[in-house]
Amino acid sequence: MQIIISNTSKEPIYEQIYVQIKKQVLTNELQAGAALPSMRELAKDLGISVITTKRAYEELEKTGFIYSVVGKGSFVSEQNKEMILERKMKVIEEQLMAAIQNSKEIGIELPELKELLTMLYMEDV
Amino acid sequence: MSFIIFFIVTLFIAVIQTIIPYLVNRTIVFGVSIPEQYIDSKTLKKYKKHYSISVAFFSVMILGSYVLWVLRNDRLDNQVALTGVIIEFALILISLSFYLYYHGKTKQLKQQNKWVENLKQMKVTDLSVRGQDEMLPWYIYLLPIISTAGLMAYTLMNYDMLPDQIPTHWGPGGEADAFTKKTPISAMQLTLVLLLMQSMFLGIHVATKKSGIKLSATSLQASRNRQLLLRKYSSWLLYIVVLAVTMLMSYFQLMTIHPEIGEGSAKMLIPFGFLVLVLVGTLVFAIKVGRSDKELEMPIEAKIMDHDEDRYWRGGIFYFNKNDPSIFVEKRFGVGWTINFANPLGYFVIFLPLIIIFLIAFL
Repeated sequence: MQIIISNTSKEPIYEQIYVQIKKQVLTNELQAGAALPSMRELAKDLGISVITTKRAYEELEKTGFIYSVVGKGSFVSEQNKEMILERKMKVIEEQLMAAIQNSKEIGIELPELKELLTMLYMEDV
Repeated sequence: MSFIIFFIVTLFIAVIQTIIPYLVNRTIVFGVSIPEQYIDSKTLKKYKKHYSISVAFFSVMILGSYVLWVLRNDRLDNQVALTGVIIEFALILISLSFYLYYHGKTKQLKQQNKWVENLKQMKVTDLSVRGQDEMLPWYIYLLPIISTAGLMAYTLMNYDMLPDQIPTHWGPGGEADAFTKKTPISAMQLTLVLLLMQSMFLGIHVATKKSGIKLSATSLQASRNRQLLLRKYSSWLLYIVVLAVTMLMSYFQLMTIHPEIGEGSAKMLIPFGFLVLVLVGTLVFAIKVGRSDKELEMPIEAKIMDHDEDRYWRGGIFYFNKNDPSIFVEKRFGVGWTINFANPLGYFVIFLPLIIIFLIAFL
Protein backbone atom coordinates (compact mmCIF):
# COMPACT_ATOMS: atom_id res chain seq x y z
CA MET A 1 0.00 0.00 0.00
CA GLN A 2 2.76 2.39 -0.91
CA ILE A 3 2.38 5.79 -2.45
CA ILE A 4 5.42 6.88 -4.39
CA ILE A 5 5.69 10.40 -5.71
CA SER A 6 8.35 11.97 -7.81
CA ASN A 7 8.97 15.69 -7.99
CA THR A 8 10.52 15.41 -11.43
CA SER A 9 7.50 13.68 -12.96
CA LYS A 10 5.38 15.60 -15.45
CA GLU A 11 2.20 14.64 -13.62
CA PRO A 12 1.26 16.96 -10.78
CA ILE A 13 1.70 15.46 -7.30
CA TYR A 14 -2.02 15.34 -6.52
CA GLU A 15 -2.56 13.31 -9.67
CA GLN A 16 0.21 10.87 -8.76
CA ILE A 17 -1.52 10.27 -5.44
CA TYR A 18 -4.92 10.03 -7.11
CA VAL A 19 -3.77 7.48 -9.68
CA GLN A 20 -2.01 5.29 -7.15
CA ILE A 21 -4.85 5.17 -4.63
CA LYS A 22 -7.32 4.51 -7.46
CA LYS A 23 -5.18 1.65 -8.70
CA GLN A 24 -4.98 0.14 -5.22
CA VAL A 25 -8.75 0.35 -4.85
CA LEU A 26 -9.32 -1.23 -8.26
CA THR A 27 -6.92 -4.08 -7.59
CA ASN A 28 -8.55 -4.56 -4.19
CA GLU A 29 -5.26 -3.93 -2.44
CA LEU A 30 -7.22 -1.30 -0.56
CA GLN A 31 -10.41 -3.06 0.41
CA ALA A 32 -13.83 -1.52 0.75
CA GLY A 33 -14.24 0.19 4.12
CA ALA A 34 -10.50 0.45 4.73
CA ALA A 35 -9.52 3.68 6.46
CA LEU A 36 -7.15 6.02 4.67
CA PRO A 37 -4.79 8.33 6.53
CA SER A 38 -6.29 11.81 6.95
CA MET A 39 -5.30 14.45 4.37
CA ARG A 40 -3.22 16.13 7.04
CA GLU A 41 -1.43 12.91 8.01
CA LEU A 42 -0.71 11.99 4.41
CA ALA A 43 0.62 15.48 3.73
CA LYS A 44 2.90 15.25 6.76
CA ASP A 45 4.11 11.74 5.93
CA LEU A 46 5.07 12.88 2.44
CA GLY A 47 6.28 16.29 3.54
CA ILE A 48 4.01 18.08 1.07
CA SER A 49 1.34 20.73 1.33
CA VAL A 50 -2.09 19.80 2.69
CA ILE A 51 -3.62 21.56 -0.35
CA THR A 52 -2.11 18.85 -2.55
CA THR A 53 -3.47 15.89 -0.59
CA LYS A 54 -6.80 17.65 -0.24
CA ARG A 55 -7.06 17.95 -4.00
CA ALA A 56 -6.19 14.26 -4.49
CA TYR A 57 -8.82 13.19 -1.94
CA GLU A 58 -11.42 15.47 -3.51
CA GLU A 59 -10.82 13.90 -6.91
CA LEU A 60 -11.09 10.44 -5.39
CA GLU A 61 -14.33 11.40 -3.70
CA LYS A 62 -15.73 12.92 -6.88
CA THR A 63 -15.05 9.73 -8.81
CA GLY A 64 -16.48 7.69 -5.96
CA PHE A 65 -13.45 5.66 -4.95
CA ILE A 66 -13.47 6.99 -1.41
CA TYR A 67 -15.90 8.77 0.88
CA SER A 68 -15.36 10.98 3.91
CA VAL A 69 -17.18 11.08 7.21
CA VAL A 70 -16.81 14.33 9.13
CA GLY A 71 -14.76 13.75 12.26
CA LYS A 72 -13.92 10.19 11.31
CA GLY A 73 -11.83 10.40 8.19
CA SER A 74 -11.79 8.96 4.68
CA PHE A 75 -12.65 5.42 3.70
CA VAL A 76 -12.59 3.27 0.61
CA SER A 77 -16.08 3.15 -0.97
CA GLU A 78 -18.03 -0.07 -0.98
CA GLN A 79 -20.49 0.05 -3.89
CA ASN A 80 -19.65 2.06 -6.89
CA LYS A 81 -20.77 1.52 -10.45
CA GLU A 82 -17.83 3.06 -12.16
CA MET A 83 -15.45 1.29 -9.89
CA ILE A 84 -16.98 -2.11 -10.49
CA LEU A 85 -17.15 -1.44 -14.21
CA GLU A 86 -13.57 -0.49 -14.30
CA ARG A 87 -12.55 -3.51 -12.26
CA LYS A 88 -14.58 -5.80 -14.54
CA MET A 89 -12.97 -4.15 -17.53
CA LYS A 90 -9.59 -4.99 -16.09
CA VAL A 91 -10.57 -8.63 -15.57
CA ILE A 92 -11.91 -8.84 -19.13
CA GLU A 93 -8.72 -7.37 -20.44
CA GLU A 94 -6.68 -9.92 -18.55
CA GLN A 95 -8.80 -12.85 -19.74
CA LEU A 96 -8.68 -11.68 -23.33
CA MET A 97 -4.93 -11.32 -23.04
CA ALA A 98 -4.76 -14.94 -21.90
CA ALA A 99 -6.92 -16.04 -24.84
CA ILE A 100 -4.71 -14.12 -27.25
CA GLN A 101 -1.61 -15.66 -25.72
CA ASN A 102 -3.06 -19.13 -26.14
CA SER A 103 -4.13 -18.39 -29.72
CA LYS A 104 -0.67 -17.22 -30.63
CA GLU A 105 0.85 -20.36 -29.18
CA ILE A 106 -1.14 -22.59 -31.50
CA GLY A 107 -1.07 -20.21 -34.45
CA ILE A 108 -4.64 -18.94 -34.54
CA GLU A 109 -4.73 -15.64 -36.47
CA LEU A 110 -6.67 -12.53 -35.44
CA PRO A 111 -9.60 -12.91 -37.92
CA GLU A 112 -10.12 -16.49 -36.82
CA LEU A 113 -10.09 -15.46 -33.16
CA LYS A 114 -12.53 -12.63 -33.83
CA GLU A 115 -14.85 -15.03 -35.55
CA LEU A 116 -14.70 -17.42 -32.61
CA LEU A 117 -15.40 -14.56 -30.20
CA THR A 118 -18.37 -13.34 -32.25
CA MET A 119 -19.80 -16.84 -32.46
CA LEU A 120 -19.48 -17.46 -28.74
CA TYR A 121 -20.86 -14.00 -27.95
CA MET A 122 -23.99 -14.56 -30.10
CA GLU A 123 -24.55 -18.07 -28.84
CA ASP A 124 -24.58 -17.03 -25.22
CA VAL A 125 -27.46 -14.55 -25.73
CA MET B 1 28.66 15.80 45.31
CA SER B 2 28.96 18.60 42.74
CA PHE B 3 32.03 16.96 41.34
CA ILE B 4 30.37 13.55 40.92
CA ILE B 5 27.32 15.09 39.24
CA PHE B 6 29.33 17.21 36.82
CA PHE B 7 31.67 14.34 36.07
CA ILE B 8 28.76 12.00 35.22
CA VAL B 9 26.95 14.59 33.09
CA THR B 10 30.10 15.53 31.18
CA LEU B 11 31.00 11.88 30.65
CA PHE B 12 27.50 11.31 29.30
CA ILE B 13 27.81 14.25 26.89
CA ALA B 14 31.23 12.98 25.79
CA VAL B 15 29.98 9.44 25.10
CA ILE B 16 26.93 10.63 23.16
CA GLN B 17 28.90 13.18 21.11
CA THR B 18 31.51 10.55 20.26
CA ILE B 19 29.11 7.88 18.99
CA ILE B 20 26.57 10.13 17.24
CA PRO B 21 27.80 9.46 13.67
CA TYR B 22 26.96 5.79 14.22
CA LEU B 23 23.48 6.44 15.65
CA VAL B 24 22.03 8.80 13.07
CA ASN B 25 19.77 7.82 10.21
CA ARG B 26 21.57 5.45 7.83
CA THR B 27 21.37 7.76 4.83
CA ILE B 28 22.48 10.90 6.68
CA VAL B 29 26.20 11.53 7.20
CA PHE B 30 27.17 14.66 9.17
CA GLY B 31 23.84 16.24 8.34
CA VAL B 32 24.16 15.58 4.61
CA SER B 33 21.84 13.14 2.87
CA ILE B 34 23.71 10.44 0.98
CA PRO B 35 21.98 8.18 -1.56
CA GLU B 36 21.72 4.61 -0.25
CA GLN B 37 24.05 3.45 -3.03
CA TYR B 38 26.98 5.37 -1.56
CA ILE B 39 26.56 5.03 2.20
CA ASP B 40 29.32 2.42 2.35
CA SER B 41 31.82 4.82 0.78
CA LYS B 42 35.30 4.42 2.28
CA THR B 43 35.81 8.18 2.56
CA LEU B 44 32.59 8.60 4.54
CA LYS B 45 33.61 5.80 6.90
CA LYS B 46 36.96 7.51 7.35
CA TYR B 47 35.26 10.83 8.19
CA LYS B 48 33.07 9.19 10.81
CA LYS B 49 36.03 7.42 12.38
CA HIS B 50 38.16 10.56 12.46
CA TYR B 51 35.34 12.56 14.02
CA SER B 52 34.78 9.98 16.76
CA ILE B 53 38.46 9.58 17.54
CA SER B 54 38.96 13.37 17.71
CA VAL B 55 35.97 13.94 19.99
CA ALA B 56 36.94 10.99 22.20
CA PHE B 57 40.50 12.33 22.47
CA PHE B 58 39.39 15.81 23.54
CA SER B 59 36.83 14.35 25.94
CA VAL B 60 39.47 12.27 27.72
CA MET B 61 41.79 15.28 27.91
CA ILE B 62 39.12 17.60 29.29
CA LEU B 63 37.66 15.13 31.76
CA GLY B 64 41.15 14.08 32.87
CA SER B 65 42.20 17.68 33.50
CA TYR B 66 38.97 18.32 35.38
CA VAL B 67 39.54 15.33 37.68
CA LEU B 68 43.16 16.35 38.29
CA TRP B 69 42.18 19.96 38.93
CA VAL B 70 39.57 18.96 41.50
CA LEU B 71 41.75 16.40 43.26
CA ARG B 72 44.91 18.54 43.43
CA ASN B 73 43.48 21.00 45.94
CA ASP B 74 40.39 21.31 47.99
CA ARG B 75 38.09 23.28 45.74
CA LEU B 76 35.02 25.19 46.78
CA ASP B 77 31.76 23.61 45.72
CA ASN B 78 30.70 26.54 43.56
CA GLN B 79 34.12 26.60 41.89
CA VAL B 80 33.73 22.93 41.01
CA ALA B 81 30.24 23.61 39.65
CA LEU B 82 31.26 26.65 37.59
CA THR B 83 34.21 24.82 36.04
CA GLY B 84 31.91 21.85 35.44
CA VAL B 85 29.53 24.01 33.42
CA ILE B 86 32.46 25.49 31.49
CA ILE B 87 33.91 22.11 30.51
CA GLU B 88 30.46 20.88 29.41
CA PHE B 89 30.11 23.85 27.10
CA ALA B 90 33.68 23.42 25.90
CA LEU B 91 33.02 19.81 25.03
CA ILE B 92 29.85 20.67 23.13
CA LEU B 93 31.63 23.47 21.26
CA ILE B 94 34.55 21.21 20.34
CA SER B 95 32.33 18.43 19.02
CA LEU B 96 30.20 20.98 17.18
CA SER B 97 33.31 22.36 15.50
CA PHE B 98 34.35 18.89 14.38
CA TYR B 99 30.81 18.26 13.19
CA LEU B 100 30.77 21.45 11.12
CA TYR B 101 34.16 20.63 9.64
CA TYR B 102 33.04 17.17 8.51
CA HIS B 103 29.64 18.50 7.47
CA GLY B 104 31.46 20.74 4.99
CA LYS B 105 33.74 17.93 3.82
CA THR B 106 30.82 15.53 3.30
CA LYS B 107 28.87 18.14 1.38
CA GLN B 108 31.89 18.72 -0.83
CA LEU B 109 32.38 15.00 -1.39
CA LYS B 110 28.76 14.59 -2.39
CA GLN B 111 29.04 17.41 -4.90
CA GLN B 112 32.39 16.40 -6.35
CA ASN B 113 31.35 12.81 -6.93
CA LYS B 114 27.99 13.95 -8.39
CA TRP B 115 26.18 11.42 -6.21
CA VAL B 116 22.74 12.83 -6.85
CA GLU B 117 22.99 13.17 -10.59
CA ASN B 118 21.34 10.47 -12.69
CA LEU B 119 19.26 9.35 -9.74
CA LYS B 120 15.52 9.83 -9.76
CA GLN B 121 14.37 11.51 -6.56
CA MET B 122 11.21 10.27 -4.94
CA LYS B 123 9.16 10.37 -1.78
CA VAL B 124 7.31 7.41 -0.43
CA THR B 125 4.76 6.59 2.23
CA ASP B 126 2.74 3.58 3.23
CA LEU B 127 -0.98 4.08 3.74
CA SER B 128 -0.98 1.51 6.53
CA VAL B 129 1.98 2.84 8.51
CA ARG B 130 -0.20 5.03 10.72
CA GLY B 131 -1.89 1.92 12.05
CA GLN B 132 1.45 0.66 13.33
CA ASP B 133 2.28 3.76 15.33
CA GLU B 134 2.70 2.83 19.00
CA MET B 135 3.10 6.20 20.68
CA LEU B 136 1.47 6.62 24.08
CA PRO B 137 -2.01 8.18 24.15
CA TRP B 138 -2.16 11.86 25.18
CA TYR B 139 -4.49 11.33 28.15
CA ILE B 140 -1.82 9.42 30.05
CA TYR B 141 -0.43 12.90 30.83
CA LEU B 142 -3.51 13.63 32.91
CA LEU B 143 -2.07 11.48 35.70
CA PRO B 144 0.91 13.76 36.56
CA ILE B 145 -1.18 16.88 35.85
CA ILE B 146 -3.90 15.83 38.30
CA SER B 147 -1.24 14.98 40.86
CA THR B 148 0.16 18.51 40.52
CA ALA B 149 -3.30 20.03 40.90
CA GLY B 150 -3.67 17.99 44.10
CA LEU B 151 -0.31 19.27 45.33
CA MET B 152 -1.41 22.86 44.65
CA ALA B 153 -4.58 22.36 46.68
CA TYR B 154 -2.55 20.75 49.47
CA THR B 155 -0.13 23.71 49.50
CA LEU B 156 -2.99 26.20 49.78
CA MET B 157 -4.60 24.19 52.57
CA ASN B 158 -1.32 24.13 54.51
CA TYR B 159 -0.32 27.68 53.72
CA ASP B 160 0.17 28.48 57.42
CA MET B 161 2.68 25.68 57.81
CA LEU B 162 4.99 27.08 55.13
CA PRO B 163 8.11 28.85 56.38
CA ASP B 164 8.50 32.64 56.04
CA GLN B 165 11.28 32.12 53.53
CA ILE B 166 10.27 30.01 50.52
CA PRO B 167 13.16 28.15 48.85
CA THR B 168 13.48 28.80 45.11
CA HIS B 169 16.66 26.99 44.24
CA TRP B 170 18.34 23.78 45.36
CA GLY B 171 22.03 22.90 45.19
CA PRO B 172 23.43 19.64 43.84
CA GLY B 173 23.15 18.03 47.31
CA GLY B 174 19.40 18.68 47.46
CA GLU B 175 19.97 21.57 49.89
CA ALA B 176 17.91 24.73 49.34
CA ASP B 177 20.28 27.62 48.68
CA ALA B 178 18.12 30.52 47.53
CA PHE B 179 14.98 31.90 49.15
CA THR B 180 12.28 34.47 48.65
CA LYS B 181 9.72 36.07 50.95
CA LYS B 182 6.52 34.11 51.57
CA THR B 183 3.54 35.27 49.53
CA PRO B 184 0.69 33.18 48.09
CA ILE B 185 2.41 33.42 44.69
CA SER B 186 5.89 32.46 45.87
CA ALA B 187 4.38 29.55 47.78
CA MET B 188 2.79 28.26 44.60
CA GLN B 189 5.67 29.15 42.27
CA LEU B 190 7.24 25.71 42.12
CA THR B 191 3.95 23.94 41.44
CA LEU B 192 3.05 26.51 38.78
CA VAL B 193 6.34 25.94 37.00
CA LEU B 194 5.75 22.20 37.24
CA LEU B 195 2.28 22.51 35.75
CA LEU B 196 3.64 24.60 32.87
CA MET B 197 6.40 22.08 32.22
CA GLN B 198 3.85 19.29 32.13
CA SER B 199 1.72 21.22 29.64
CA MET B 200 4.76 21.87 27.52
CA PHE B 201 5.67 18.19 27.52
CA LEU B 202 2.08 17.30 26.67
CA GLY B 203 2.20 19.82 23.81
CA ILE B 204 5.45 18.31 22.53
CA HIS B 205 3.96 14.83 22.78
CA VAL B 206 0.86 15.75 20.78
CA ALA B 207 2.86 17.68 18.18
CA THR B 208 5.27 14.77 17.75
CA LYS B 209 2.45 12.30 17.41
CA LYS B 210 0.87 14.44 14.72
CA SER B 211 4.09 14.85 12.82
CA GLY B 212 4.81 12.89 9.67
CA ILE B 213 6.11 9.32 9.57
CA LYS B 214 8.84 9.78 7.00
CA LEU B 215 9.83 6.66 5.07
CA SER B 216 12.75 6.17 2.73
CA ALA B 217 12.13 4.93 -0.80
CA THR B 218 15.44 3.10 -0.92
CA SER B 219 15.28 1.45 2.49
CA LEU B 220 11.60 1.11 3.19
CA GLN B 221 11.88 -1.60 5.83
CA ALA B 222 14.78 -0.06 7.74
CA SER B 223 13.29 3.43 7.74
CA ARG B 224 9.89 2.17 8.85
CA ASN B 225 11.54 0.26 11.67
CA ARG B 226 13.47 3.31 12.79
CA GLN B 227 10.60 5.78 12.54
CA LEU B 228 8.24 3.57 14.51
CA LEU B 229 10.83 2.84 17.20
CA LEU B 230 11.82 6.50 17.41
CA ARG B 231 8.19 7.47 17.90
CA LYS B 232 7.43 4.76 20.43
CA TYR B 233 10.56 5.11 22.56
CA SER B 234 10.68 8.90 22.44
CA SER B 235 7.12 9.01 23.75
CA TRP B 236 8.10 6.62 26.54
CA LEU B 237 11.22 8.60 27.38
CA LEU B 238 9.32 11.88 27.43
CA TYR B 239 6.70 10.39 29.73
CA ILE B 240 9.32 8.93 32.08
CA VAL B 241 10.99 12.35 32.24
CA VAL B 242 7.64 14.00 33.02
CA LEU B 243 7.00 11.51 35.83
CA ALA B 244 10.52 11.98 37.19
CA VAL B 245 10.30 15.79 37.07
CA THR B 246 6.89 15.64 38.75
CA MET B 247 8.20 13.44 41.56
CA LEU B 248 11.32 15.55 42.06
CA MET B 249 9.54 18.90 42.17
CA SER B 250 6.68 17.56 44.26
CA TYR B 251 9.26 16.24 46.69
CA PHE B 252 10.86 19.69 46.96
CA GLN B 253 7.49 21.30 47.51
CA LEU B 254 6.52 18.78 50.21
CA MET B 255 9.91 19.26 51.84
CA THR B 256 9.14 22.99 52.15
CA ILE B 257 5.83 22.21 53.87
CA HIS B 258 7.15 19.32 55.99
CA PRO B 259 10.91 19.85 56.59
CA GLU B 260 11.14 16.51 58.41
CA ILE B 261 10.90 14.48 55.16
CA GLY B 262 14.04 16.25 53.95
CA GLU B 263 16.17 14.77 56.70
CA GLY B 264 18.55 11.91 56.13
CA SER B 265 19.88 10.67 52.84
CA ALA B 266 16.66 11.06 50.77
CA LYS B 267 17.42 14.73 50.15
CA MET B 268 20.59 13.75 48.33
CA LEU B 269 19.50 10.49 46.77
CA ILE B 270 16.29 11.69 45.14
CA PRO B 271 17.86 14.40 42.92
CA PHE B 272 20.78 12.12 42.15
CA GLY B 273 18.46 9.24 41.28
CA PHE B 274 16.56 11.61 39.02
CA LEU B 275 19.73 12.54 37.18
CA VAL B 276 20.85 8.94 36.73
CA LEU B 277 17.40 7.87 35.54
CA VAL B 278 17.21 10.62 32.91
CA LEU B 279 20.76 10.05 31.64
CA VAL B 280 20.50 6.26 31.48
CA GLY B 281 17.06 6.51 29.88
CA THR B 282 18.38 8.88 27.21
CA LEU B 283 21.41 6.70 26.49
CA VAL B 284 19.33 3.52 26.15
CA PHE B 285 16.87 5.39 23.92
CA ALA B 286 19.63 6.79 21.70
CA ILE B 287 21.31 3.43 21.22
CA LYS B 288 18.11 1.47 20.67
CA VAL B 289 16.80 3.88 18.05
CA GLY B 290 20.27 4.49 16.61
CA ARG B 291 20.85 0.82 15.87
CA SER B 292 17.32 0.14 14.59
CA ASP B 293 18.02 0.81 10.91
CA LYS B 294 21.54 -0.52 10.64
CA GLU B 295 21.11 -4.28 10.58
CA LEU B 296 18.53 -4.66 7.83
CA GLU B 297 20.37 -4.94 4.55
CA MET B 298 18.28 -3.95 1.58
CA PRO B 299 18.86 -4.64 -2.06
CA ILE B 300 19.12 -1.22 -3.68
CA GLU B 301 17.19 -0.40 -6.79
CA ALA B 302 19.77 1.13 -9.03
CA LYS B 303 18.51 4.50 -10.18
CA ILE B 304 16.47 6.03 -7.37
CA MET B 305 17.12 8.02 -4.22
CA ASP B 306 15.12 9.78 -1.55
CA HIS B 307 14.10 13.34 -2.25
CA ASP B 308 17.20 15.42 -1.49
CA GLU B 309 16.21 17.82 1.28
CA ASP B 310 19.62 19.24 2.14
CA ARG B 311 18.57 22.72 1.12
CA TYR B 312 15.98 22.80 3.94
CA TRP B 313 18.64 22.03 6.55
CA ARG B 314 20.85 24.96 7.55
CA GLY B 315 24.18 23.47 8.54
CA GLY B 316 22.44 20.10 8.69
CA ILE B 317 20.98 21.15 12.04
CA PHE B 318 18.17 23.69 11.61
CA TYR B 319 15.16 22.65 9.53
CA PHE B 320 13.18 25.27 7.60
CA ASN B 321 10.63 23.81 5.22
CA LYS B 322 7.49 25.78 4.49
CA ASN B 323 6.00 22.96 2.43
CA ASP B 324 6.21 20.44 5.25
CA PRO B 325 3.21 20.73 7.59
CA SER B 326 4.95 18.72 10.34
CA ILE B 327 5.97 20.57 13.50
CA PHE B 328 8.67 18.06 14.42
CA VAL B 329 10.97 16.02 12.19
CA GLU B 330 13.69 13.54 12.97
CA LYS B 331 17.00 15.17 13.79
CA ARG B 332 19.82 14.85 11.30
CA PHE B 333 22.73 14.88 13.74
CA GLY B 334 21.63 13.15 16.92
CA VAL B 335 18.81 10.85 17.91
CA GLY B 336 15.41 12.41 18.47
CA TRP B 337 13.40 15.30 17.08
CA THR B 338 13.97 18.80 15.93
CA ILE B 339 11.50 21.55 15.22
CA ASN B 340 10.50 22.79 11.77
CA PHE B 341 11.38 26.46 12.14
CA ALA B 342 9.21 27.35 9.17
CA ASN B 343 6.09 26.27 11.05
CA PRO B 344 4.92 28.96 13.50
CA LEU B 345 2.96 26.40 15.56
CA GLY B 346 6.26 24.92 16.71
CA TYR B 347 7.32 28.19 18.35
CA PHE B 348 4.03 28.18 20.20
CA VAL B 349 4.55 24.65 21.57
CA ILE B 350 8.18 25.10 22.61
CA PHE B 351 8.95 28.73 23.28
CA LEU B 352 5.75 30.07 24.82
CA PRO B 353 5.85 27.81 27.93
CA LEU B 354 9.62 28.43 28.27
CA ILE B 355 9.10 32.20 28.20
CA ILE B 356 6.35 31.98 30.82
CA ILE B 357 8.52 29.74 33.02
CA PHE B 358 11.38 32.23 32.80
CA LEU B 359 9.02 35.10 33.61
CA ILE B 360 7.74 33.28 36.70
CA ALA B 361 11.25 32.36 37.79
CA PHE B 362 12.82 35.80 37.39
CA LEU B 363 10.05 38.26 38.22
